[in-house]
Formats: sequence, structure tokens, C-alpha cells
Amino acid sequence: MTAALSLEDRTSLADALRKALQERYGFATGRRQAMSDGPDRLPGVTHLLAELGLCGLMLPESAGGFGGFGGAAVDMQRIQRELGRALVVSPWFDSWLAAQVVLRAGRQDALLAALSDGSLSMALAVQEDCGLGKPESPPTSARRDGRGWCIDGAKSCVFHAGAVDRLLLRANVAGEGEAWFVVVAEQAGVRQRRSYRLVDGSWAADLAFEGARAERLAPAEAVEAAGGLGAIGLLQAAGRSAELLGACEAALELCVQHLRTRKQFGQPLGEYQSLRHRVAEMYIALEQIRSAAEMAAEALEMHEQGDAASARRRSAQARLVASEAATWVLQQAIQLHGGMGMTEELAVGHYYRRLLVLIAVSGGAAEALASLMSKCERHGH
Amino acid sequence: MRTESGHLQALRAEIRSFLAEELDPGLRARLRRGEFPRRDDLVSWQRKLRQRGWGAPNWPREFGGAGWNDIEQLVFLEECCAAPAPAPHVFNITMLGPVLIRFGSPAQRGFWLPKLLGAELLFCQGFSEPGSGSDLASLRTTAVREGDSYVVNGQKIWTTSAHYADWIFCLVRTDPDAKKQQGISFLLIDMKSPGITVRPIISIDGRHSLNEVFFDGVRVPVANLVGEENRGWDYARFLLGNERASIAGVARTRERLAYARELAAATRRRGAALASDAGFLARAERLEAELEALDRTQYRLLGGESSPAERVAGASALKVKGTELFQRVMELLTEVAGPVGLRLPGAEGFGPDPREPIGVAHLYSRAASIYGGANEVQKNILAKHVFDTIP
Repeated sequence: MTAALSLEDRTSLADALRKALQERYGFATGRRQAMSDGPDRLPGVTHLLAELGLCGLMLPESAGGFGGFGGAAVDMQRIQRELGRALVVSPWFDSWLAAQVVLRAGRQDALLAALSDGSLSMALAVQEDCGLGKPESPPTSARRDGRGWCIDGAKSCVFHAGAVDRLLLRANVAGEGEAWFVVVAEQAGVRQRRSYRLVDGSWAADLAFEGARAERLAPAEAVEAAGGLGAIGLLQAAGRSAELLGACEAALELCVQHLRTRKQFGQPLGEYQSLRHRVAEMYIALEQIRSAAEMAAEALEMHEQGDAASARRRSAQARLVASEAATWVLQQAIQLHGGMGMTEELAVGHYYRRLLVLIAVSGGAAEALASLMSKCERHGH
Repeated sequence: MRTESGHLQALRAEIRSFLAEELDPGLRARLRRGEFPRRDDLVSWQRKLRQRGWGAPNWPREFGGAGWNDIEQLVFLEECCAAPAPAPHVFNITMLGPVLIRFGSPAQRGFWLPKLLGAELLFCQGFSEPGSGSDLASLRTTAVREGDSYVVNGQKIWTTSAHYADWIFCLVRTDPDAKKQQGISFLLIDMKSPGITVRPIISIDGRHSLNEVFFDGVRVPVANLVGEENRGWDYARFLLGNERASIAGVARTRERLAYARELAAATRRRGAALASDAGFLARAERLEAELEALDRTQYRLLGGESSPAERVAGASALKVKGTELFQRVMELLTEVAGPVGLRLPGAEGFGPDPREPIGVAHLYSRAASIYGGANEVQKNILAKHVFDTIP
């Protein structure tokens, strides 16, 4: 297994990733090509990420990776920022999240080894199937029969469902409460009800579990408590805010380049004061997003120190700031490109498409605000 | 809603019952889901409207129009949007018709107006060019007179529906030496002419409604010149000024907000109906209040008490505020839909969940603050007005 990386190595890993993505996953050759991939294969870029050793970052040295325990989230954010910049859609972050859960469930050495050497991919099946006019969250349940555990229920919007090896999900065990389960994706008990592409080009599917064979990891509570990194929502917020940061940085760069070259009424757009001010405001918003990514990471530390209420609050603040600021920045990025910003041929619109999906699945401003305003959060503060 | 005269109330009721009877429920459902109308939808709807005498709300009766004033037209548009039903064909009826009525020759009016009204052919609009967006007058497509024809060379862009339109009305440069607004002419060009190539532009919503149109030595009979040569800029300004009645889009935005509320009522989130969620209500109520105010603003500006300068500035104010509200409502709608509302259509289009097309409609709504004069340009017009008129 790979030796631990020093801090410099980690910084240079992000640099190496940026360089590799620039060379091998450019917008026209990488991202746009990926938009025509089918649902039953992992996006090609996934292999590039594995080649660069990113899978090893999923786990600390003690578990055979080189992620470094306390610093795991910092490394993950560095990677996510680069993936956001390059508009990478891959199961890397889902697998990273899944690895954190598996790690904290304990006794899963073979699974962890396969995740950290990139030979196994995993998706989170955590969105409940919530139809229009139907009650929220019909519970996914687990029961034990003569051969072990099996799962019944449904999950919606499972990313890369048709291409990953394993699914990680929570299900209710009668009399015990919720527990985490690992499910082999390709088996008779897992049925794809519908497979579709989202606006950011990612493939997802709605899954039905009909007596799907499963392996029980641990009770949800135990995972939350162990190691302090259990709260998956906090990890998600840390990763997604970093991804939005990278996306907004890249979009601002594109805007400045466009304003320098595009001329209307005889002068470059960049000489119009109103547009210069817009760019200045985008820069300010970008700094707020940078801080939000730090806040989301800080929430993880708070959680680790046992202050769950403060952690939830800080994470919700981060989500609120990051999603509102990034939404505005990426809308302005399209606006400043004029009609060209509305085309699929330019990268700038793709950042906004990605943002819509990230916010919908990991919670945007409305959800963060609701969390901040709820009684228990305010008491926690 | 404002208090309305008995006449307007009666007209509104009449329009509503017409829509209830004549609008195809399948088309209505598709529009409500956020899909684009198709060519055959537009043609058959335009014909139904013509039959009822409402094919051209903005034309005088002598040319087959409804002869309605601005307010009556607005009432009609409001009801179409609320249904939702397609409006009368925007290029045939709202844009080109009035130009021909005002500036066309009697022969042109006699030939074209009935065809436009009955959607015997559909026009598209060839104004923008790659180098000429907000700065439209810098356009470079040329038309050179050769005998009884103009020979047109150049390129148009963002041409909505060019892939199925029959004709295009174009601004072309006929005098390269004149000051930029003064050498432009207004031509009608058959899309089947040799030398025309249409290339699709896929927009960020992944759909195809926009195009590039290339002209390579396209011969256009001189009879297809509208008005006088080199006066096309005036006609274009007249045409764009005629969009006033629809520019704020209040009725369309209201319909989308009502739809967001309807979906929210059927959506459970955080353990309760989303429609009663404090955060959702705060946003929906704020939007509704701002729409109510914008509605009054537009009635005031269309009501005839304002000066021509105020009307021009008013159109800019309505466009900026109207598109901002529309985009905010589309954001709210997208949030209500959640991940289900962020799908791209598959080979057979969208699936059974009505929320699926909301995301692509949201993405397309980002164009509202760009087309028809970007909001930044509208603000320049407004700023000039404010400094010119406030002592």
C-alpha cells in the first residue's frame, strides 16, 4: 500500500490533478464527450482519477489508505475543488462518502481495500422515493431470512446506479432502528425502475429493492458516533461546497476572458463599468464561497469534538452561503456571456447545470435555512 | 387583481370559455410541464384563433385583426398565459404583421397578411448576428442589388424555430458606406432559397430551439423588400416597440407561480406539505406581491397617460423587473420539484412525472434576461431617461 503523503505531497496532488484534468479532461474532449456516455459504464474519467491514486485518499493509513485521519476532509475538499473546476461527473465523491461510512462500521477490510485501490466503486442510495401527492419516505426495510439479510423498498436518484459495483443504503430493521447495508448492485433483487440522465449529464436511476441480498454493516447510530465523522450530511456539505468553489473559480475566469475579448458598441465589454462591478461582486461572492467551504470543514471538527449541535448549525450556515453565492455567481457567468452563455458548446452553462443538481441532492439554501430556523438548532446554538 | 370595467370582465369571461372549449388538453398539459410547443401546435392554434376572430389581437380589424387596444390585448394574453395556451404566433402576428401594415406596400399587405394570420406559413426572425448582439446596428450581413434581386451573404444567430420556419424576416446591410443605423434594410426571405444553411444550436437545457442561419449568395426578389431601402432600422425599432404588451410577462410568471404552489401542495418535505412550509410561503408571497405591483406598473405604462419617452423607458423597466421575477419564480419551481425536476429528456421525451421537464425550462429561463436586449442594455436606456427627465 502507498506510503503516507506529506502535506506538500497533498498540495501537489491537487496540482497534479488539475494538470492531469486540463490535459486529459478538457471541456471539449473530456466533459462534452462524457455527455454521450451510456448509463451502464462508469464515466471514463473515473479511471483517470484511480490512476492518479485518488482512491487511496478515501482511507487513513491505518485502514490501508494514505488519507490521514484528521486531514481526510481537507484532502477530499482539495480534490473536490479540482473536480468542480473541471466539471467532472464521477462516483469518486460518492465512493469517498461510502468509504467513510464503511470505515466507521468496522470489520470490513476487504471492502475497504477494494475501495482504496480503485477496484470497486460504490454509490449511495439515500434519496427516498417521494412521488408527487405521496407520503414522504416510504421506509426501506431490512429483514433476516435463512440466508442472511435482504432489503425491500425503493430509492430514487441513485447516481451511476447502472455502473457501480455496490450500493450503500440505510434501511429500517424491525425492533432495532436504522442500519447501514451494502448491496451488490447487479442481482435479481435490485430492479431499475427507471434510468435517466440529469441536466449535468450524470446518469441516475430509481431502484426497487425486492428481497435484495444485503450485508449489514452497523446500526446507523453506531456509525454516527464512531470516529466523529459519521454524520454523512456534514461530509456531503464539505465536499459539495468545495466542488462549488472550484466551479465558480473556473466560471469567473471564463467571464474575465470573455469580457476582455468580446466587443460591443466599439469597445471590449470589460471596459463597461457596470460589467466591471459585476465581476467585482462575483469575486466577493467567490470569497464567501471559499469561507463557506472552510465553515463546512470546521463543522466536521466540531462534530469530531462531540458538539453535534454546533456542527449541524455551522454546516447549515456553510450550505446557505455556498449555495446562494454560487447560484448567483453562476447565473451571472451565463449573463455576462450573453447568448453564447446559453449554448451547450460553452463550458460556462455547464457549471450552472452542475450546480442545480448538486443543490437538489445535497440541500440548498431553503433546506439550510429551514435547518437553521428549526427549534432544536437554535437551542443548540 | 385590479378592478376592471364591465367590458373587460366580459371579454375576459369570453376568452376563458373559448380557451376551455378549444384548447387541446394534451397541449395544455405539455405547456404546463414546461415543454416547448411544436410546429403543428402553433399552426393549429393560430387557425383556431383566426376562426374566432382573435388571430391577431394587435392588428386593426380591416386586416383581419381583433382591433383591440393595448389593455384588451393584455387581457387576452393574460388569459392565454393562465391556461396556459400558446399566444398568437409571435413572429407572424406580434412582430411582422404590424410592420407590413404600417410600412408594407398594398400588394405586400394583400399577399402576406392572410397567410400570416392563417399560419399558412411561419416566419422566424433574423436580427442578431455573432458580432451583433446588444449592438444590433453593427450587423454585417449584406444585400447587394443585382437587377431584380438582392444577393444576400452573411450569418444570423439565435434564430428561434429557423429549423421549421418557412420564411425569415431579416435585417441586412444595403449601404456599407452609410452610418451604421442608416444602411440597413428589411427583407423577407424564403427559407427554401438556394444558399441558405440552418445549423442547430443546442442550448444549455439540452434542447434544440435555436439556430444559426447562413446566407451564401442567396437571391431575394426586390419585391420582398419591406418599405424603403436603407430604412430597415426604423422598422426594426417599430417592431421591437410593439412587444410592450407582453414584455413584462406578468401573466406567464403568475401561471408558473400558481403551478409552483400546486406542486408544493402535493409535495411533502421535512415532514409536512411543502405548501405550508414557512420558507416556501415567504418566497411565494413575496413573489406574488411583487407581481401584483408589476402588474399595476404595466397597466399604468400601457394606459395611455404616459409620454412616448416614458413608454420607451417603461418598456425597459418592465423587461428588467419582469424577467427578474420570472427567473426567481422558475428557481422556486425548480426547488419544489427537487431532483426529479432535473432530468434531461430521454429518447422518448420525458417520463410520466409532470415535474421532470421543470429543470430544462428553468435553464432556458436564464435567456430571458439576455434576449430582446440584455437587461444591462435596458438599464442603460433607463439611466439615460432618468437623467434626461429628472431636473
